[in-house]
Amino acid sequence: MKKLLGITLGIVTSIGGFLDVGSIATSAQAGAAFGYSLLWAVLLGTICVIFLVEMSGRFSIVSGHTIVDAIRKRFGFAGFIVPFAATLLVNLLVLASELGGICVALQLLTGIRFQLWALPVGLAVWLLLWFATFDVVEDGTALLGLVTLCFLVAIFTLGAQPRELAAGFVPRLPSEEHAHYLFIAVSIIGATIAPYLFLFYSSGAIEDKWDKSFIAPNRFIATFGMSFGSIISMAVIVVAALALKPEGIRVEEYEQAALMLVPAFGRWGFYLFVASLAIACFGAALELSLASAYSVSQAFGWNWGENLKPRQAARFSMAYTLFIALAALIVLSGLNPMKLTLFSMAITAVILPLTALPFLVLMNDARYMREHVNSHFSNIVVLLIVLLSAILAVVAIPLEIIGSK
Amino acid sequence: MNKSVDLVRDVLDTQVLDREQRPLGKVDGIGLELREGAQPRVAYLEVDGVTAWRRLGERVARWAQKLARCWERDGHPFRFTWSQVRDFGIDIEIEVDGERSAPFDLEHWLREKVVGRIPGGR
Repeated sequence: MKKLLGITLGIVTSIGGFLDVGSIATSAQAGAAFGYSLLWAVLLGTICVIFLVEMSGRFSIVSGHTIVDAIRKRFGFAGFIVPFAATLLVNLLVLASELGGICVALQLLTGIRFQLWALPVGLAVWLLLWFATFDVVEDGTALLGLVTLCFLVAIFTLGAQPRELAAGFVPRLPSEEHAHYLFIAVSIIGATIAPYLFLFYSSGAIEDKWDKSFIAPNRFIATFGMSFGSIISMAVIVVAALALKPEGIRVEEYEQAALMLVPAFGRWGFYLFVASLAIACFGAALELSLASAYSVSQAFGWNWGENLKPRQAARFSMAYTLFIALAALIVLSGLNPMKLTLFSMAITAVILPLTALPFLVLMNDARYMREHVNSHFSNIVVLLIVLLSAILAVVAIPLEIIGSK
Repeated sequence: MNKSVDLVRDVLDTQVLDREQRPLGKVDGIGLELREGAQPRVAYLEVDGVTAWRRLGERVARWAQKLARCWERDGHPFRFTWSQVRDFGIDIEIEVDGERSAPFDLEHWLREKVVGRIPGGR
């Protein structure tokens, strides 16, 4: 039973965390602008995130530490705090994007501008964390997240060509818009390998008290859960390519993305998209707020845990409260939610080495991992993908900024 | 049996738990006592946010100190000695009541000033 619950944790992390505002926005843009040709970016990101999530689970099982906790100890406070602060800052931008996604979904539904939803939406996320326990957060998101399966159904309704699909997994520069192509590729990778995913996962493994018997299930959860999420984000690319590209619809705003399910499901397609966007973002917002509050508490050694009453862990509760409030203010400021999302994802790719590389060092440290240290193969896979994405991101972001002016 | 411990590697930045296994903070600093004609000795271990920030520089520490004055009561920086250590492994468990010790000042302050005043916080 405990294992089963553990497996649920993995699936939630994948649906709530994987299919989030970042995946929907980047995949919708990719499909509408470049057809299937960016499917490889999702695949590349997924391979990396499967390795990272598996490692974070294994790390917590074997060492008894959470990742943040161990990085501070291994590298010392001074070496730890700056990359940590950078990661938190990016988490904040991503949380603002998720809240923005919910607000836009509400705007699409009601016609009331998204900024006006910022505070009510922030409050709703906060209320759930304040009053609910971990299991409620976990299982609720998992069940509701199943609505995103509609993207898979849409592929079959629209009838994708398998041969063209397969070609999308081979990276190839398009004939024009090189800079934008690169930027979207980087954003997709950033959206796929969000650091909060494996920070959250490692905290969950500690909170659920996983022991050595979880090493095999952990591998299964990481592979299956992350692939599942990845298939849905690929489905978003395919649906956007089939439904939006032939009509020449570019996704500059969520309004355009919201049309992508209409050819498959008619008027209901619009509501399905809105529901998917709202639910995926809501789940991810919960996870991100928790993951960030966990990280801060672990960094300073405070008591933490979603199963504690706010009074029992005041610093932890105030950490997510502050975090949500700041993110809601960013949304309130009226930045274009789509642009905010794409840039947050690209910046995620830039700072990925700051968390992933110290983490790799830990995974190879026998004092923590004993006989469960990383294989050379997994080191090389993660190292290559993380460094490649960061370098591409550093190149792509300025180009995109110049290009969009 | 004598066992050697690497202070920076194994002790600094380690999680400290109180006697109820509640997280108290991290080992933010280590104090050595220099003795005439003998090896230095570990005088105390410190759990204190300002001490941690001081490792980045004095100016950062001054800012942290200013901020910490809002909630700090007595007993800062919080120090304990090796004789209070009950267990030393992944974490350091010490013979102290965490809730009544200085590292919990911020927690208490937030409970009273903020969390306790929000419905559902209790």
